[in-house]
Amino acid sequence: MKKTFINLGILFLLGMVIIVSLFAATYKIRHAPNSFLREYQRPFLKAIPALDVKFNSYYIAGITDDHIYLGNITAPFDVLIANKAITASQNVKIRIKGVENATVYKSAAIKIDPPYFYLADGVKPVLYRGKIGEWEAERFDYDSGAYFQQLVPIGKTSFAIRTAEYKTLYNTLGKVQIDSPRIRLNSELLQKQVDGVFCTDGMLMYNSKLKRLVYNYRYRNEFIVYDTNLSIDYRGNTIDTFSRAQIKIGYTTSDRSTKLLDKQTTNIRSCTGGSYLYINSNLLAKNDSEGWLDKNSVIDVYDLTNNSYKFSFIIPLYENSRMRDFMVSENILIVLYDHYMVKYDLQPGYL
Amino acid sequence: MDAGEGRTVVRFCCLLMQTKKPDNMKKQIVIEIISFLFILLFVYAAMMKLLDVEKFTVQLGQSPLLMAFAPQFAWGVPILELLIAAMLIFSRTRLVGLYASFTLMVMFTVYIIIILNFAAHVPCSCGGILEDMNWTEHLTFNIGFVVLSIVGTVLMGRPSEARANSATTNITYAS
Repeated sequence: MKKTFINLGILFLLGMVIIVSLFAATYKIRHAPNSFLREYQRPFLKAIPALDVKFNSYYIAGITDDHIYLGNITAPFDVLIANKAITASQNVKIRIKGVENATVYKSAAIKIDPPYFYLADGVKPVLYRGKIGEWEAERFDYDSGAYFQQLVPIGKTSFAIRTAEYKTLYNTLGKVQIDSPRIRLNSELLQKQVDGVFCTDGMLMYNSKLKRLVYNYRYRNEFIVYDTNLSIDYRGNTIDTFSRAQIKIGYTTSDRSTKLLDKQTTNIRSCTGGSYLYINSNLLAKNDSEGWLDKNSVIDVYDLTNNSYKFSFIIPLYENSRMRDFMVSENILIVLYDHYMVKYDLQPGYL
Repeated sequence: MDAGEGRTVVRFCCLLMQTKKPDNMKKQIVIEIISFLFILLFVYAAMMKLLDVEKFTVQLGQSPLLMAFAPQFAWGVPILELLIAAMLIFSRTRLVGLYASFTLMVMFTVYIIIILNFAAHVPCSCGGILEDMNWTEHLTFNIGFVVLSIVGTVLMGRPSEARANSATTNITYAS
């Protein structure tokens, strides 16, 4: 009897040790430091009291000279407008002219490009446009066959898109506009490494100061800078060493779906402002301590004018939660955490 | 599983006819039932996993705890379950089988506890109807089986009973 319990006790500990070490091994594999270094600028951010926006489904739609606009992924027609000091906010609902109870797919996103706002739904696909302040949108005339996964306005009549190439279904960058040619793709910009879909995933941005489009890959250390005619300026590299997308694709015959099995995300999200590209990296540098990325979000800053790494800074936790979304405009940094919006002043002298 | 089930029924009848050691007989029945439940659980779970091993690999790949070892575990876990089920069928290996069942159930339980505390949303990869349970139900279910395996090993582990067991087993085979 006693011996049995001793045996059970030993086996209990053994089982626990096995599972915990599996967990630790997986964690270690996924969080191993990489052979690159970061140069931190500290203290860099000056925090300004947060605004409780009540929901954790907001994303940053845009920042203008006076206001910050948030869209809501669970309520695609809702817009939250905050003043630049983030001391006050109001909610508005976008109306579609002549349509009662309009619907859009969940992937629809609001883009702010003064004096207009856009509601872009690439699945349907449909694009609505209206004036900021009026919040009444009209269907914007553009090629109705142009499906897209991402869209950014690059002027009053044209938009950069990321779409799927007709035949291969690979991700492709392109441009849609009112005038002919209404749609143009450049399949040379994105370079396939694994499957052409997951491996080329990334973030599409427009830098209005430099009049350049930037596409930052999610799973490799590269960003593409190209002009509004879709000709490439250069391919820039981030400081880490992941030149190949580290992803594994799984195909299940029973439910006919392709899934991303394993991935090493290098760039979580990015944005551009001024002459800079801000990348929220997911990789631990050699001079970062273990667990560093659990406590902070690291932003690496690149100068787009001369394709160089400038420095890094951290965005700390707020109320114990990590940053969900961020955007830089002039010398302010807007960050969303769970249901809070926080504004940081980027201290002058660095930018 | 059928062989184990059949033998259990036969043995159950034999034990009912045998009246000399009512205490041991009861213990024997309990051990048989526990083993049978484990065989049922493991064979069912292993079969559901192996029938769609592709899907199981994908599910494991999404688990924050096992993603690095998904292909190995997709085959390893069901094969281990079948091996343990086989050990539980034969009386000579049953005690080892019960210890193994205990260890495996402890591992599953610890896995669930870690998942519940460290991951926001993870699909369950247990296979078949076992996937319909939510994580808390799953935890209760697993702890139940851990307790069963403890009862089984304790009952089998007593030296006098162990001898009696083998005696009973002999009678069973003789009949």
